[in-house]
Formats: sequence, structure tokens, C-alpha cells
Amino acid sequence: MADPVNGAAVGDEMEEEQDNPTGGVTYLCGDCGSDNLIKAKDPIQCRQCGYRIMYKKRTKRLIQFEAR
Amino acid sequence: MSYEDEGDDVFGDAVPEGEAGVEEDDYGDGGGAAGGGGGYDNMDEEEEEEDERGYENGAAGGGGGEGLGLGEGEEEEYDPDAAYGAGGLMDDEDELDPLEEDISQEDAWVVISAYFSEKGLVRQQLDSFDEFLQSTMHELVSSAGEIKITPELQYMPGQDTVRRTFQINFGQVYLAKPTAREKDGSLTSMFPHEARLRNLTYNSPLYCDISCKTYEADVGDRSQEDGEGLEAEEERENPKEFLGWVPIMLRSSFCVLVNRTDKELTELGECIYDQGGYFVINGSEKVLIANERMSTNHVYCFKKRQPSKFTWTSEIRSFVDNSGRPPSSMFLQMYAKGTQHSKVNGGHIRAQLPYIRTDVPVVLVFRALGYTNDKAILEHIVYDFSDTDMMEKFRPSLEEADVIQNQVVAQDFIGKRGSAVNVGRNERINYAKGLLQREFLPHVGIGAGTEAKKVFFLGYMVHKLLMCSLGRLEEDDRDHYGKKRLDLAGALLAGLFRQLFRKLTQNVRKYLQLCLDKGTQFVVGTAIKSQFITDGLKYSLATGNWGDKKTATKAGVSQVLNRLTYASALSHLRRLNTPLGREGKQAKPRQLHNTHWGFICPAETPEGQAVGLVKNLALMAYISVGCSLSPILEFLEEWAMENLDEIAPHMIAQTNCTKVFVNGNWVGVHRDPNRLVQTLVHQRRALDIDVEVSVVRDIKGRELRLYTDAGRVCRPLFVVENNRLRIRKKHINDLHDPNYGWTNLMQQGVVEYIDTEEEETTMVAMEPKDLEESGGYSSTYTHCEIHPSMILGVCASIIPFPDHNQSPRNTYQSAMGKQAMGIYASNYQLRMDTLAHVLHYPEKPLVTTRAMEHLHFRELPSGFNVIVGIMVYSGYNQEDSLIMNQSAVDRGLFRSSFFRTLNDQEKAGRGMGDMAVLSAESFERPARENTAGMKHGNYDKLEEDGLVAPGTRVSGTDVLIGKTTPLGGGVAGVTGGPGHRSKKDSSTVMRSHEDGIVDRVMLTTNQEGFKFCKVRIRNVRVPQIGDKFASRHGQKGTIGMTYRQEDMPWSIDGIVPDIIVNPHAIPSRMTIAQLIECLLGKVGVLTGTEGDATPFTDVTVANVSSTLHKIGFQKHGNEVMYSGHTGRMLNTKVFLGPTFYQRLKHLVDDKIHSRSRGPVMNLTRQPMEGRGRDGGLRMGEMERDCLISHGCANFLRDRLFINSDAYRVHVCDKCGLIAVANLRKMSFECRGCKGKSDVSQIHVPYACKLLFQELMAMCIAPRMFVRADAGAVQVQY
Repeated sequence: MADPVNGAAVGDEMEEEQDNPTGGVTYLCGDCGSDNLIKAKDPIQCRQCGYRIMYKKRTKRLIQFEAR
Repeated sequence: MSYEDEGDDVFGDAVPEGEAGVEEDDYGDGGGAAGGGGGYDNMDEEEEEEDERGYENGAAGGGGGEGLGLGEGEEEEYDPDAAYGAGGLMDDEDELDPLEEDISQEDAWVVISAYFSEKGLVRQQLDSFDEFLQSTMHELVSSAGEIKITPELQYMPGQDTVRRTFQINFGQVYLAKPTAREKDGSLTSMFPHEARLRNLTYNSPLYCDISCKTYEADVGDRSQEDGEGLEAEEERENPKEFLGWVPIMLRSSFCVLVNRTDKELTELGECIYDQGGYFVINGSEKVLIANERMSTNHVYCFKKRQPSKFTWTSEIRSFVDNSGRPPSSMFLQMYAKGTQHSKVNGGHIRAQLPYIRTDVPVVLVFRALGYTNDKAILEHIVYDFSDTDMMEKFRPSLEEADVIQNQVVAQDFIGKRGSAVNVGRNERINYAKGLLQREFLPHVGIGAGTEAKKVFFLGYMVHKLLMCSLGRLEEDDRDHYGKKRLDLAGALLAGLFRQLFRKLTQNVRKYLQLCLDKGTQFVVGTAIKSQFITDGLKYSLATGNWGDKKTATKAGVSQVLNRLTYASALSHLRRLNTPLGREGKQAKPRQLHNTHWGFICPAETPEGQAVGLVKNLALMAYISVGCSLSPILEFLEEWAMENLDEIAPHMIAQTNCTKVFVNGNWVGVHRDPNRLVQTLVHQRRALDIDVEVSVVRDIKGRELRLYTDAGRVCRPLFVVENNRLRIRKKHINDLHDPNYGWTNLMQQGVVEYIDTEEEETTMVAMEPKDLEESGGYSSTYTHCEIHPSMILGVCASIIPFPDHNQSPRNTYQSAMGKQAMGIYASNYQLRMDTLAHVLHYPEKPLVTTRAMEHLHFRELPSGFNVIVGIMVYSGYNQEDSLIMNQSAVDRGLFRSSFFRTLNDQEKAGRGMGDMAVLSAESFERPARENTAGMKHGNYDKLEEDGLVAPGTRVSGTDVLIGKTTPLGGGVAGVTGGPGHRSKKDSSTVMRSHEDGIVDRVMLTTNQEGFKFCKVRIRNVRVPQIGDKFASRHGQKGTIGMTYRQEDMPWSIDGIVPDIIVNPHAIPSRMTIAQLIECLLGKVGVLTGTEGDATPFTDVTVANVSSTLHKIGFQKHGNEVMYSGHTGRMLNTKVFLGPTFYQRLKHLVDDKIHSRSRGPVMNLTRQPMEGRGRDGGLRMGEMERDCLISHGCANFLRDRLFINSDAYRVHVCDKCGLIAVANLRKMSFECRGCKGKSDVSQIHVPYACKLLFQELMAMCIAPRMFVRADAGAVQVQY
């Protein structure tokens, strides 16, 4: 399984970010802050600390703001 | 413990032992200044404070001298040495003995700080809930829960033939720390923030020890009732059986957050300023609103308006504490006229008893209770036989009843009028006996042997009624706050819990009966259905419908905590509701009553239907939780109270005899009430009896009433003895020690709680100054206000100088302060509230009140100190609009963030267990190939997991959460071939009018173990024309125009206003306080100080303006200004200065709306309603009336028909019914008369066509005739 951190770095280039080839999205644990790769049917629980609240990472798409 | 030993000391004059003559008139500002200002970071004008203090002390010295002169130097009840020991060392620098020195008004604020730092602002909620968990629940469980079952023998082969009784008792209850149970069955400790985020309920499991006894039934027939004397065959203990989940109030003693430091709270994701007092139910914060009710066990006398049948009535709602039975009411009615054929000509009294259909002569009730002769009855009513007026007044009642002189006959008389019909005489008599024992005045006692007390009480009621009718007593005031009780969270939950627990025990009994009848073994654990308590509590807390789901109960008890501003949340937690019909037009219960002083905020109440019915507690109001009655009764016993059983009734007439009531029940008489009251009060001040106990002495009525019940409103006051405050400088100095607090002050007896009824018997000085020889108008003060500004509630305490405003303006501001944007909690970044406004960089106000410190208004403010000019400038600020400085807006003035959270979850599909999980919805990016009913929106921003990522800009039609539901109830993707759409789209789309940036996306699982997600959208709102703003004085307005700085007027110093308000906003509204705030703000901003605008202080306009004048400004705050457009000097001087303005949540961007064409309703084909659905603007009845009166018939047709729901139908000319038309084939047919011709096309509103069809469905034929000569005559039925 790909390292979630590296996977994210590789995915930068793509139009739709694919965290890794096998699917799934990396989330941040709400308690310990570690990365968690969670696939569609996986339970939502941190592998490090067991916390059940996950936050999505910030988008990797280009964001432009009109400064006005 | 005996009280007699120290009786003499107790009655000492309680003047401190003094080193007389130590006090001096002046003292250096060494220790004194530290005492006065040490607790505050507030930088008030130093000079003023100093002046004030000098004055105060000078005067206080004199007062102290006088006080000492009076005292005999007796040993005081509380030991001064002990007090020293507790408080630490005496300040050596103090030239004045701090034990003798009086306190100043300034020192009162130290006391107030001590009060709030110990109690907080939601103490009533917390105390009430704690009382429920710690004692009420135990009582309910142990008293209500005894189940006894003796199964009938079934005589099955091989079965035992001994009848056994099974008895189940509920014992000790246990409550664990708040816990979460996950789907997988694991139990983990829960924190409130997690409960909020995951939509869980913050609750604890409740356990109970259950004992199960078995004994032979037939042996114990003799002592069947108690079963105590029986030998148990088998006794099983089931320790800690699970009863259900109980929601826990935040920051109550069972909450995990109690006694945490700020750092710990922050780590737990909590707001450090949050005070708790609410519940978290399914993720939403719920407040239990206190309910007001009339107190029970109180005798009320009311005069009836003629032409009523009665002249006076007396009533009592008798209620036994913790009994669970509803109050039983009893009335006495004095008739205006006699009945026909009766020798009595009016004035006779009859009693309305519970379950008795008609009223019975009151004398008969006495006789039925065993007091048959007239003298005995009169002794209990009139007491004093020399009182001829009263004897005469009671004569008709006696005469009316003289036909029945016998107890049994009287009982029969009552029994005949009972609900039991067609029963024998003996049953009737027994019925009446039982009724008088159990249902008649149950608070006095239930059962045999209570008749004597009941007769005394009934006699007292009649006595009071006679006193009233003789004009010696006033009618009772229904709105007096002393007769009100407030049911808080604890009392409300106790009522609910009692109901649910009864249901639970009934269910257990049913289950056991079933088990035993079947002959199977039973396990107590499986008999208990924990859902009763869990679901019952949760249902009521979640919906606010208090009580059973099926029966209609009071609604709105539990409300979602208002989190718009910090102050609005605080105010919500201190709200009171009067469950009275909102339609009731009588004004009395809505009006401010004298007795509200200090307990209920005079300003904070909503406008409109609920005005005066919804109230708010004043800042220092506290609500009693109820305390045990037995120590009081023991005390009275010991202090020579004569019990009612012991006394002869004629003694009551003696002038030194005072009736003693405890919680409304007459317990006895006392011959030395002065001493008794003094001792009681002393004991209370020394905390020997509960501080909550209220001691009310009615000297004229010769009554002493003691109350220990829950729900009385109290407030702390300084104790005054010999016209001198008992609190001294020493106590103030002690308060700087963190270990010395409010409780210590209570222990020392320098402050005490006074409830609404006891307040009637006190003499309260407004400020310490009044106690001086020259001040005040009385020399018999018993108490002193801690500070008069404490009469205000949370929202009114934010208003500067409310004592200079017209009163409705304070009410308006109290309502508006709740709509202001600010920072509503310090953890707002972590919270996922459905709606939230956060003001960017809010400022603490330049002009503050002292109470704000405790409301944390400085830490979590809700506005800006803007420079306001009150002037006419270009006319764009008419009719409550404002001109705002666009350059200031561009620099960030009043900018705010708006957060909206949308949430969704993968709901379970059909079926049970695994089927439900397999057929559940799923978060994913819906694909057009296999998903039916895809929305018009844009699915591109969804990622692989079906959720948008933070940082994405989203607007109107973007999909935020992609979710699909399997179709056909089957498992997704299993059924159907290629091209078959196996799923349905059920995604969440942005609101059509909103846009923003995805701020945070949370993914978790909920209680049922399904995926659950919340998406928070952030949007910055820059002030623009149409946005609403308000000062703190009920002066609201919308922006009418923005001008850049260069177009704004400027003063000679180059000051440009941020806001220009129209001068017409001032005179009719009389918000003088806004002008003073502006003036004081100007002084503050120039001197770098915070202005003190606390009401009822010595700050005057003259003071402020002279200070301003000294700084070099025009003393009234007026300035010469120059026009920004022309550069010319303006003709008039402009009142200019900083004023605290709030931005209100009503923003144009949330309201702007227009429509030309758009969606229509399915049923009527008329345009939709509301902005959210892109609806039309309603042409209502009144608008229609206008158009009719103007004769605009065509325009009216255009609005009401053509642009609404125009529709074309075909009608048959002959029968007038709707015909079938095929316009392509040009074929017409009338189904009614089978005709194929003579069909006309007409235009009618679709709603009209709908009505006709509905009428036809009801067998009514509406016919439309298109020709004038056609009509009803031609219709052939």
C-alpha cells in the first residue's frame, strides 16, 4: 500500500487528485492529526488513536481569488 | 445538638466587639486602594474614584462610631478571632481597623465578582439538575419501585403447589460518567464536543441495585400488607442493573467538564467562556426553559365580582411533595344570596371538596371530621369569641348546617354527593371517610389520625375567608412573585422521570407476571426495558413536548440554545416561561410587578404576543433547589413550638400566639415569635440551617411562615444590623485571597439569600450611603442592596446608562442584542453549527458597565466603537437609515464571516441487520449511467468519496455531498441488466442563493454506525447598502448610502465619521443614554480609559462634559465640521463621537429577491412562496383591495390571473360542466349530457378549476354557463 503522504504528493499533477492507485481518500484524524487512508467501505476510525472523527484535507486544485 | 445552651449569645445584639475609637476619618490610599480596585483590570477615571472613596470613608467613619456607641460590647455570635484566622493577617498599614471600617459602593463590586466567580451565570440550571441527579432520582427510584407478584397456581403436572410471592425492590441508583456506545458495542467515555459533532446524545448510563425476594404467600396472609415480618425463602441481589441512558447537563457535577482549567477545556474543544447548563441531544444543544407556576399549599382568598353567585372564595391547591399525585384543589365559597326556601339569607360558606359533585356546607365538613358541636367548630374558626363581628359573619353557615348534628349523618351527606352512585349507606360513609382522609387537604396528612390537624387547617381557611369578607384582610394578589414557583430543569426532569420509571416498573411487572404464569424462570435484567427511560427522556428533550408521546402535553419546554451571540446564549439559559394562553388579553400577568425587583429583569422581554409572559432572570437571582424539611421541624420542636395536637384552640386567640406554617402547612403555634424568628435568622446566617430556608413573619396576621421548597426565587443582600452593614472592609480584603469566596461571606453572615416572600418583611437600603445618619429615610434597615444595577438581566446589562433611556428602548435593545454578530464562542472554528455569524476583529466597547465583566462581553464582544455623527448629510439617512464610510468598510469595518453547515448521513435501507447495512445509501460521486434522478447541479467538485474538499469555491448549483440510494429496495448494483439504473440520486446541493468556500468537511459515523458527514461553508460578508446596524439603545437602522472618506464630512482634527445617523432618530425616542455614551466614549478615547456606564452610579453628564471640556473639546461633544463634497464649513455644529454599534444578522444578501417567471406549486399551479424556492411576491387581500379601490381592473386581472395560474378549460354550453376537448382532432364531447357540440373554451384560474373538480368529487355539480340566456332554468336534472 502506498504511503499516504507520498501518494498525495504524486497525485498533485492529476486533474482529479487520486490519492493512490487503489482508491480511497486520505483524511486527517480529528484527535491526533495523523493521515488515514479510508476506502469506501472502510470503518471510519483512526488507525493511530481510534478516534472516529475525520476531516478532509484541503483541495489540491488550483484556487484563484479575485482580490478586490 | 441543643440550641438552648447558646441561646443568650444568639440573641446578642450582634455588634462586633470593638476596639472603640480606632476609626479615623481619613486614611491613606495604601491598603484601601488595593481593596477597592485590586480586583479589576478596569481603568476608571482615577480621580473620580479617589474623590468618591474619600467622601465615602469620611462619612462611613461617622456611621461606624454611632454603631459602636449603641453596642454594649457584647460577645458576638460569630467569633471575630475565628474570622481573623480564616482570613489571614490584618493589614498593618491600615490605620483603620478593617473589622470596623465600612465598605464603599466600590467594594460591593468585589463582592459581586466573588459571587459570579463562584456561581457563574447559569447556577440555577446546574444546581437544579444536580439536585435531580443526586437526590430526587434516588428518592423516585426507591420510593416508587416496589413490585409484588403472587402468581396464581396453574396446577401443572410436577409443579410446586405452594403459592409464592415475588417481591422486587429498587435500591441504590448509580450514574456513570458520560459514555458513548458505538455500534460495535464498545463503550468509550464521551466528551460534549464529540457529541455535538457526531450528533450523539451526551448521556450517562443509569444503573440500579435490584433485590428480588421470594416468600410463601399463604403463610403471610396476616401480614400481607407489609411483608416485612416474613421470612424470605430466597433473596437475590442484582447489583447494578442497567435502567437506561440519562442525558447529562453540561458543567453539572456529573459532566466531564466540571472543574477543568481553561487549557484542558481548550484541548477538549470547548469554549472557555461557555458555562454549560444545557444538554446535547442528537448533537443539538437544548435548554430547558424554566416554567412559572402558582405555589401549592397556599390559601388564596379572592373577591368575586358581582353578579357572581359568591362574594368571596378561598382556594388551596394541596400538594404532597414527591408523591407524584396531582395537586388536589379545595374551595370555600361564601354565597351572596341564600338558596330558595332556606332560612339562610346569604353569607353562608360552603366547601367544594375533591370528587364531590356539589358544594357542601363547610360546617358539615367539620362535623364529618368528628367535630360536631358548634362551640368546637367556632373555636377552630373564629378563635376569639369576643369578636362579635366575625361570630355574626359565620352565623349563616352554622344555621344552614344545624339540621345535621351528627358525624355519621354528615359523612353520609358528603358520601351521597360523591362519584359513587347506588351504593349502600355504609359504603357511602366509608367513601366519605376515605375521601376526607386521603383526598381532602393531603398536604396536612394522609390517613387516620390527621383529622385534628385538618380541622385546624380548614378552620384557618374559613378564618381567612371571614377576615377578608370583613374587610380586615386584602384580597390575595395572584401576580405577587412570592406566590410563584419556578420549575427548572431538575423539577421538569423529575416529573418526566417519575412517569417513565412508573411505565418501566409496570412493564417489569407485566413481564414477570407472564413469566411466572408460564412457570418459566425470570431474569430481572431482561425484564427491564431500558428504552423506556432512554427514549422517553430523549424524546422530550429533543422535541420539547414534555410528557408522553401520545398524550397532549406542554410544548416548547426544551429549546435549541440560541448561539447567535454569547450574550444571547447566556440570556437563553436564564429565561422563564409562563404557561398561560398567549391569546389571553388580560394585562395583569404580563405587567411588571413590584415584587419582580431584583429577581426579574424589568427590560428584557419579547415584544408582541409573549410580552411579559416570557421573562428573564436578573443577574443575581438564584432559584432554590429545595432542602430537607426535618431539620426545621426538629428545630421548631426544640424551640418550644406548641404542636397543633397539644394546644387548645382557644389559645390561638391569645395575642402572643403566632401560628407557625412550614411550606404552607400549619404545624403549631409559638408564644415568643420574636425570639424564634431571630434565632432562625441567626442560625441561617451561620449556615446551621439551610441558607435557602425563608423565614417570613407576618406580624399583623400573627403568622410565621417558613419555606424550604424548590423553585423560589432568591437573591443575595447585604445584612444590616443596627443600621450598619455587617460586611466590613476586612471581608473585602479577604476576598482577594483565592481561597476565600462567596461561601465564606455567607458563612460569616454578612450576606444572605432573601426570597420573594421574605423580601416583603425586610427593609432594604438602596446603597450603603443610605445607612448613614444623614442618608436614607429610615433607621430600621435590615438589609442593603449589593448593587441596584443587579436588577437587570443579561441583555439589559450590556446597555450603557440604561437609567437614562426611555424604558421601551431598553426592551428593544435587549431583544436586538441577541441578533448582533459577535464571537459566540471561543471554539467557533471547531464547531459545526448550522448557522453562525462571526464578526471580524470585534472591539470591546469603550463605554462599559461593571456587569459586563461577568458576562465576558469584553472577551467576546459583538460590535465596533465607530465614530458616529448625528447630522443630516445628503439626505440618505432618513427614516432610520445610516450613511456609512465606504473607506472604513474597505479597511475592514464590520466585516463578518457567515458559516453554514449542511449534513447528511448514509441512511439504513429496508430490512433488518445486515440487510439494512447492505441496502444502505452510500456517499459516492453519482454516475449518470446507473443513477436515476440526477439533479441539475454540478457534480464536478465532488471527490472520489462523494464529498467536496475544503478550499473549494462553491455556489448555487454545486453538489456538496454526493449520495445514492439503492432502488427497488435491493442491494445496489445487483438487480437489472446494462443500462438499468439501479440507484437514485439523493445528493445535497448548495442553497440556490448562497455561495462560499468549503471551510471544513467532517466525516464520521453516527450512533447507528452509519457514515455521517458535515460540510461547513464559509462566506465573508462585507457591509453594504441595506445591511442592518444598531447602537445599544434600540436605535436600529439600515445602510442607506456609503460614501468614501473624501466625501464624508470632517472635523477640524480630521476626524471623519464612520456612521452618520439622522438627528430625527433622537427626540421622539428619548435615548439620552446614547448621547451620554457618545460623550463618555469621547472622553475615554481621548484619555485612553474605559468609561463606566453602570446604571445607578454617580456618573453625571456634568462630570463627563467638564472632563471633555478640560481636554480641550466643546463640552457637549459638538464639533465644527466641513462638508466632504464642497469643503465648506457646515452651518451647524455636529454631535460627534464614538458609539458602540452592533451589526445585526439581517443582511440584504440573505433577503434580496426578485422573480419574473419561476416555479409553480404542483397543486394549484400558482407561484411558489418564499425566497428559498424562488417564489413570487404575494398580492395579498389588502393589496387587492387597494387595486379595486383604484379601479385598476385590468391590472388586477393581470396580477391575480394571467401572471398567476391562468388555465383553459372547455365547458358544455348545455349542462355547464367541463367537457373533454381534443383540439388537434377538433373533437369535443360532454360526458355529462353526451353532447358533441356546443362546447365553449373559457379561461379560469387553475385553482378555480381545482375547486370545481373537488366539489364534483363531493357530488356537488358546479356549472359554468357562458351564454347569458343559458342558466339554471335550462338544466335538466
